[in-house]
Amino acid sequence: MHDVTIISETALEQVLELDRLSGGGLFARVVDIYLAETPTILRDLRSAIDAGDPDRAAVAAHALKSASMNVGAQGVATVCTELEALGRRGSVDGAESLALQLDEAYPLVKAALERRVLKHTAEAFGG
Amino acid sequence: MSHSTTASPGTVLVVDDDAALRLLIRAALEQDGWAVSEAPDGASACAALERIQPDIVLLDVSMPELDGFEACARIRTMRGGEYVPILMITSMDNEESISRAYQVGATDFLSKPFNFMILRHRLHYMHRAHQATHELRDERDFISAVVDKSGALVLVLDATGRIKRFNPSCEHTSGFSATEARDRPIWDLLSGADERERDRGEFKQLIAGRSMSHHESSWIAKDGTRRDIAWSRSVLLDGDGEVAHVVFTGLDTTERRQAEERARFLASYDPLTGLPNRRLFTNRLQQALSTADAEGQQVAVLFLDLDRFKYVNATWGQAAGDQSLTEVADRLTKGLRLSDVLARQHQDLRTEMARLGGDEFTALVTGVPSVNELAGIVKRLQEALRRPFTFEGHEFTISASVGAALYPADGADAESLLSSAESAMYASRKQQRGGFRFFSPAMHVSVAERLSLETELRQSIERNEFVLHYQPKHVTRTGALIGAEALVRWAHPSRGLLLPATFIGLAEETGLIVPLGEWVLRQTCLEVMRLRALGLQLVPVAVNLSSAQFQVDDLLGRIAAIFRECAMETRYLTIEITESMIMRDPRRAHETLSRLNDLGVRVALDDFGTGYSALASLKDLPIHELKIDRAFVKDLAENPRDLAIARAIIAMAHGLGLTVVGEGVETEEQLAILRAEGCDEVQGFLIGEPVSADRFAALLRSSARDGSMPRAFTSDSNVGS
Repeated sequence: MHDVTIISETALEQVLELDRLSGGGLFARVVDIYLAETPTILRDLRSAIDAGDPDRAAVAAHALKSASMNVGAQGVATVCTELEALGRRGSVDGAESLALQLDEAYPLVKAALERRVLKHTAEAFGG
Repeated sequence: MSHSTTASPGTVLVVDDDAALRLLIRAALEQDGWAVSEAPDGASACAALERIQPDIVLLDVSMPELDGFEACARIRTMRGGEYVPILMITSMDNEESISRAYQVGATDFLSKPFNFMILRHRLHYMHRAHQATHELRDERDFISAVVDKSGALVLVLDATGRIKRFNPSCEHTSGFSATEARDRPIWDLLSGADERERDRGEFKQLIAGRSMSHHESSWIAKDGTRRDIAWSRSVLLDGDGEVAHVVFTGLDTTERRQAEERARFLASYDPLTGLPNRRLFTNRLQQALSTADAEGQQVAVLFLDLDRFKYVNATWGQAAGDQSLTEVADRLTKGLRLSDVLARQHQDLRTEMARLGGDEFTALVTGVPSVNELAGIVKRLQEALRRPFTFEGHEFTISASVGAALYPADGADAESLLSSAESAMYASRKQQRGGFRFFSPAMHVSVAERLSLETELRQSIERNEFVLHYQPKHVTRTGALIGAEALVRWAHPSRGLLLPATFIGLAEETGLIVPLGEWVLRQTCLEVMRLRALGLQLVPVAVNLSSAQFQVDDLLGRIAAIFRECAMETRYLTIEITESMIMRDPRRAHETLSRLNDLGVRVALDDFGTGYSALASLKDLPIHELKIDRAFVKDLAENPRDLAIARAIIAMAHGLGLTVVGEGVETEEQLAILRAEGCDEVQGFLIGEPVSADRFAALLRSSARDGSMPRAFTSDSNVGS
C-alpha cells in the first residue's frame, strides 16, 4: 500500500516553473482551486458509491485524478485511477475502502499542500 | 485573424472543465504571447468560438454536458470553425479515443498528463501549419479566380493529355461543361474526327520536347461549329523533371479570322451575289490570256447587261432589284454550269461568271471549241433568264443583251476585251433587246449604231425634238443687250436635253447637219418673228452655218426660201461662219457672203484666230463682225501672248471697221481686259447663259423697260460696211 498523502516534487516541477515564468502566485491559486473543489468531488464520489452508481463514481474519480495531478498529489491521483477504472468496469465493489482512503488522506494532503505553498512563497521572496 | 507567418500568435480558446488546468495552460501560453480565452464546457466553447473567432482551439475530451468529441464535431459545422485548428486533449491514452478525435475533425491530439513545453511547441507548430495552409488556400482561390475570370481560354492537361482544368472561357467557347470535359483526352473531346490522331501526335511531341510553343488550331464545339484558337502551350515539370501538366492558354480568334476573310472576300467578290467582282475577274482574265498564249487557246469574254433593269428598281424598289440581281446571278451561274455537258466533250473548256457592278455581268470562257458552241453557251444563259422573276407576288421579266469578244482577235488585253465585249453588247441591244452579237472591228462606231442614231436624229427633226436656246450678247461698255446666238439642243426622249457636242459630230458625218442646220435657221426665223409679233424690241440673233451647209449647191436659194416662208425681217439675223469655211474656197465664199449681204443679213466670222486666214483676204470680205475665239479669251489674264493676239485682232478689226466680239467670257477679269482693250461686245457665261425662247423674250422685255437697249442696234449698224 503506497502513501496516499504523498506530494510529488517531480510532478510539481512544471507548475513551479510556470509559476516562476508567470511572475508568481500561480501555484498558490492552483492549490486554492484544488482545496476549494476537492471536498465537493469527494462528496460526489461518496454519494455515487452509496447509491451504487459506477458511472458517476468514475466521472468523479476522473475529475479528482486530473485535479490532483495539477498539484502533484500523486498518491490521491493513483487511488483515483483505480476508482475510475473500477467505475468504468461497471462496479463499485471495493470502492468503499478506496474512498475511505481518500477521505482519510485528504486533510493530510491539504496540510502538505499548504505547507508547500508557504515554502514556495518564502523561497520566492527570499530569492 | 492574422495570416502573417511572423506575427505574434493570435487567440487560443482553451476549453476544459478543470479551472486549475485552464489557469496553468493560460500561464504557459501567455509566455508565447497568445491571447487566451477560456470556456468550461463544450456548449460555452461553441458560443465563444462564434464570438471571438480564435486562431486555435484547445479542447479537453472529458467534460460534463457536451463532451470534447461532440463539441469538436459541432465547431466544424460553424462559420469560422471549418478550418480552425483544434488540439484535442485526452487523458484516455488509447487508440480508440485518438481515432475518434480525428474522426470528429480534430487537427491533432495531446494526451494528459502533458508537458507544458510540448503543448507550447505543438500549438506553435499547428498555428504555423494552419497559416501556411490558409495562405495556400488563399493563393489557390486567387489563382482559381484569375483563371476563371480570365477572358482567355485556360486549360490544364495531365501528361497523358487528359483535361484536368477547363475554365469558364473554355466552357463558353466549346459548349462543354468542365464536368463533361474533366479527365477526357483533349483530342477526344475537341478535335475533329479527321484531326484526332494528328492532334494526339502533336501532344506527344509537345511532351517530348518539353518546351513552350505557340500554335493555332481549331476546336469543334459541342454544337459542331469550328472555333479557331491561337494557343500558347507550356509544360510544367514535377520535382523529378517529369512532365506533370501541360498548360494551354488560348484566344478564340474565330471572329477576327472571319472578319479578315470577309475583308478578303469583299476585295475580290461582289457581296450581293457572291460572284467575283471586276477586280478578280480582270485578274482571272489576264491569267487566262497568259495561259491561252502559252497553249494557243481561244478565250472569250461575254458581256451581259440586263435590259431596262433600272425599271425593276424604280417600280418595285431596291429590295426587288437586289433580290432579282441575286437570282439573275444564280441562274446565270447555273446556266453556265449546264455547259458542263460541253465541257465533257471539250476538256479545256472553263467558264467563270462575274458581276462588274450594277446590272452588268461578265463571263469568261476559256478553251472555246468554236464560235457556234460559244453562241450555244450564250443562248443557255439567256434562256436561264427567260422564266419570269417574282417579287412579293409581282411578276416581271428580265432579259440580258449579250456581247462577245474573242482573244486574241478582238483585244490584246483584259481591258480592251471587256471593252470590245461591251461594244458588241451595245450593238446587239441597238438592234434588239435580249439579243447577242459577236464583236466586230467596226463596232466601236458600228453601222447599226450609226443607222440607229441616224434614224433617231432624222426622226427627231420630224418630231420636232430640237429646241433653241439663246445666249445673249452685250455691249462691253454699257452692258446693253445687243444680240444673241441661237444654239441648238436635242430634247432626247430618253437621254434628256443633249448639248450639240454629243450629236453634231454624228450629224456632220451623216450629212444630217444640212437638214438640222436648215431647221435651226427656219426655227430661228420663226421665233424671231414671233417675238416681233409680241411687239418686243428685237436684237439680231446669230445662227451658225455649218461647213456642209455652206457647200450645198443652192444654199442661197434655200435660205431665201426660208426667209420668204417666215416673212423674216433679215436685219434681225446674223449668219455666223468660220474662217476655215472661207479658206476652203475663198472666191466662192466671197460670193456667197456678198449675196447674203444682199439679202440684208449680217455676217459674223466665228472662232476667229484659230484658222490660218490670210489676213489680206479679210479686208475684202463682206462681213460685219469678228468673234475672237474663246481659246484666246480663256487665258487673257494669265497669258501675255493671248492678250497680244486679242489686242492685235481688235486693232485690226477696228481698222477694217468691224465689230469685235469676245466669246466665252467667264470671269470679271476677262471682261475688264476686253473692255480696256476696246472689244465692242461680249458673250459668255459671265454675261448670260443660253436661255429658252421664253426666257429670252423676258430678257428682251426687261432690257427694253430699263432703256438700256434701244440705241444698241443703231450703233451696231453704224459699224457695218
